[in-house]
Amino acid sequence: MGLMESLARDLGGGGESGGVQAARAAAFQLALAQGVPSPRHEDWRYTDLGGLSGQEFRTAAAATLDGQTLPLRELDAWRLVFVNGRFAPAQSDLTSLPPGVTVRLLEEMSRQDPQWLAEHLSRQANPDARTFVALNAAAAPDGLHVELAPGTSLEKPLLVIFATIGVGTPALASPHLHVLAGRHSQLDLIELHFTAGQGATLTNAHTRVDAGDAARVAHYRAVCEGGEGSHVGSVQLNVGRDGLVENFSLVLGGRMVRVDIDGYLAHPGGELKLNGVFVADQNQHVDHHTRVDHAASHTTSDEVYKGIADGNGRGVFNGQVLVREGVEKVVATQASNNLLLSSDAEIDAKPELEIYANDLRCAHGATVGQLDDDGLFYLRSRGVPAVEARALLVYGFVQSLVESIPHAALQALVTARFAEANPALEKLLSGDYS
Amino acid sequence: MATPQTEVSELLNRKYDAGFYTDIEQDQAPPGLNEDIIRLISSKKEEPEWMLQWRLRAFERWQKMPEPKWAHVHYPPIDYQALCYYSAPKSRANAPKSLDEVDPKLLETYKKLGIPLEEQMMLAGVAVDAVFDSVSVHTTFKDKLAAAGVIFCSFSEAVREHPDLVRKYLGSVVPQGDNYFAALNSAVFSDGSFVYIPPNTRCPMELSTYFRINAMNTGQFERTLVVADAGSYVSYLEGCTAPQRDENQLHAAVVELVALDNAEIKYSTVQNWYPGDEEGRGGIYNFVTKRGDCRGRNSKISWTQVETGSAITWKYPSCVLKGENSVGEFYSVAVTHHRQQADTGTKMIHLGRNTRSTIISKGISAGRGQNAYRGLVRIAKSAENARNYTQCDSLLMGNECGAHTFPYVEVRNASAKVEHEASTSKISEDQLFYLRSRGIGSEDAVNLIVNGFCKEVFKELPMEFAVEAQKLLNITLEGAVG
Repeated sequence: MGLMESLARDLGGGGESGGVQAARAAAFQLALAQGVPSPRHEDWRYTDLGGLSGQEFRTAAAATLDGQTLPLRELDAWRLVFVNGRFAPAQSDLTSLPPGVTVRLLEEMSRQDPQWLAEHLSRQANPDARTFVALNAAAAPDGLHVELAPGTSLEKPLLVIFATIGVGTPALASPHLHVLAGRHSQLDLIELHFTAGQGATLTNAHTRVDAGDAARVAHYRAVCEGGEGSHVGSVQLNVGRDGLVENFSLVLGGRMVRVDIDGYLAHPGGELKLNGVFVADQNQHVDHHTRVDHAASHTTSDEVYKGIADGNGRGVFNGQVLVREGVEKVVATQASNNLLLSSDAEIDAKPELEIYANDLRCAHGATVGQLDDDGLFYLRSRGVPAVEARALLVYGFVQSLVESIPHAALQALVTARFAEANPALEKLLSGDYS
Repeated sequence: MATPQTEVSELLNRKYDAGFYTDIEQDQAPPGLNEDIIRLISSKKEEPEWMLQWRLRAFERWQKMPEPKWAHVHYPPIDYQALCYYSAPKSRANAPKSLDEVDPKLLETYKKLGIPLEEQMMLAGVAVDAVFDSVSVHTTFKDKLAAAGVIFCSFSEAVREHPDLVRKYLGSVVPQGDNYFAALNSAVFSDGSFVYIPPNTRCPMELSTYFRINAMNTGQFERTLVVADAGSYVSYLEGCTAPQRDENQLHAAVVELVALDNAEIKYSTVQNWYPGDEEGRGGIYNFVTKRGDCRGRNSKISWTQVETGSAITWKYPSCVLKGENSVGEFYSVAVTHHRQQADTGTKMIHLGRNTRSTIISKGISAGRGQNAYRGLVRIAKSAENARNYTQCDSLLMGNECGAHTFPYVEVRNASAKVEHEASTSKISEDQLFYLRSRGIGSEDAVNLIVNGFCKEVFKELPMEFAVEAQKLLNITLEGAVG
């Protein structure tokens, strides 16, 4: 039985309205028609889902989670936790959330405003949608709809944690997050995915940010799936007039991780910043596909991705920049820098420019290389042992990007991941050189 | 910052300079493609049985292949059964022994194009193997080359005279089933050039072939094979122009280069086939497979191309860097104007240790032209210390054109260093203003800037070619900036 067939068994029902059910069925039909992508699809050239489609995934059953195992506990934030796609109120905390912010579960929306939900799901599953976005619309048992009233500014970040608990047999979770940021609103959104429990899991997450005019949304997205956890994430970012949307994708764990980030600049003055840091070691496979669509004049995009491949890991970066016909005064830059540390590892980079206009400045660069020999020599000549020198340089490669994250707890998450690969690092970063 | 509109449109409407048609009787096969046609081609060329079988195997492969659709180009479906696969000037029946025996009309054609064979022989010291449609008509400087042991002849002649060499190397770089157009070429290739440079020989002159497409509805399927034996060097020049015609013509050439130990091949192309008129009617479809194999240690293959013609260009001169310390280079200027489309680039496949490659690609889009760079740099696991540097820049002129970049970087060795950078922008208004404020007319200013943009590539061309390339570029882009 294929991936699609095994998913089909768990669809439908759930007491949803006819319109919502119809939208879900249509989305599934769309995904079914497209089929599970294979490396024969240009978009999946470097990522083979063959290993997944052989397994019989079932929608993950409701599960509970010990609050102590949650990451980012020390972060001062409004917190929402979902376990296997379902809301976990015990671990969540929305105390003193400002009145301009409305947080509602999709399940609530389904009861209160089924027409909105049906439309929302159909919008995700349009014929141009990626297969996994359609699958998410078809399968998401629950999710989150966050709305910021015009002018609302949140002084603390909103943290949304999606935990997938393995139950021994292959389990699928389909988290769904929708943010509607009104005019002149401001939000720091942190989305974190992690896996616990036993057995293979597949998280098929979809996040959509609709930012209004002059709204500023910073979206930090961390993927910390476990050794048997696979992750397919799709992010859709719509930037408003004179608005700014930032996305920072951190991929720190997972057997197979694929993240698609689509940014849409349809209004003048819009700005998009995409950053990413990923580590692929052991047998990990990490694939980022970004697409920036400049559909309006006077729009700007800037993208910096840093990747590290070690062990048998494989890192993939595909960054597409599209400038549409008739669009003027566009500036688009993109850089993909990669560190290849093992001869069993692989880096594949494909920066793409597709340009149908002339009044613009676009540039991209991609590099694949190793640690700087001179840097290593310098450190060693000052008595830093080779292992530690290496750990420092590897972390140094991503440091500037990581330190641009204004949340210390998130930075610590990255440092911890690097320290896991190089235990010497923690000591060094804490200033202990003894 | 504008040339007055009237001047622009006047310049934009200029006609293709090399466009005319010479009326020469053709010995033509009926349209269509089947085994009989291939047998006919083979027998017309008096080929041995193995060559025929080789063609038939290619045809068999081709029939099972789908036409590739991945390139960023659009054209109506080609009816391969409506094309003619063989056409030879009548004069072939009694092949000319010297220039005097060549049809004067043919010679006139070359003269109109500014390729005076005699002059070139004397002044430039260039041996010319001119291909008029399918059969080589004239070869020069044979004696001088023969003294050096260099074999430079038409492909048909090579099949007859040097069957062992041809058998050994034909299809060893581009196999029959490599891709759709290469398979088609392998089945029906009409003629082309064969070059063999013996060991430790520096070819005494630059070798050159001018291709022309002349007969109506005749696809031209050239096959070029250049083998540089150990320690040898050769510089090969390929250039082409074609008469103006309204129907699209298919050109599916294959070029194979083999460089053995310490050998170097420099392959330069200036391509100026008929690009179609302002509305995109007519023009050549140029679907070419070019690949060089750096088979030996310390070998080097360098591709330089200036692509200004053709309605559609689909071309990726590549290097397979097998030998230790081998070097691959690709320098390209591609220009698309009016409704021209180009999808061109290169592949650098690093297999050997210490292999190095450089890619410099300059794309210029004007009018409604679409220009795409598509490149692959692959560092295999075996390629210790491999190094690649890639730079592709695009210059945009006009707001209806397009410039696209599709680079693939695949690295499987942790000692590799790979760099890729690309930029796209329109021609700088500040630079134009600066030049014009110093009294340089806008047309000259554009030429100056464009030539500066392409300088890195032009300096790789042999001198005569560089002059021609600059001229071509200026002519192609006249009036492109408004």
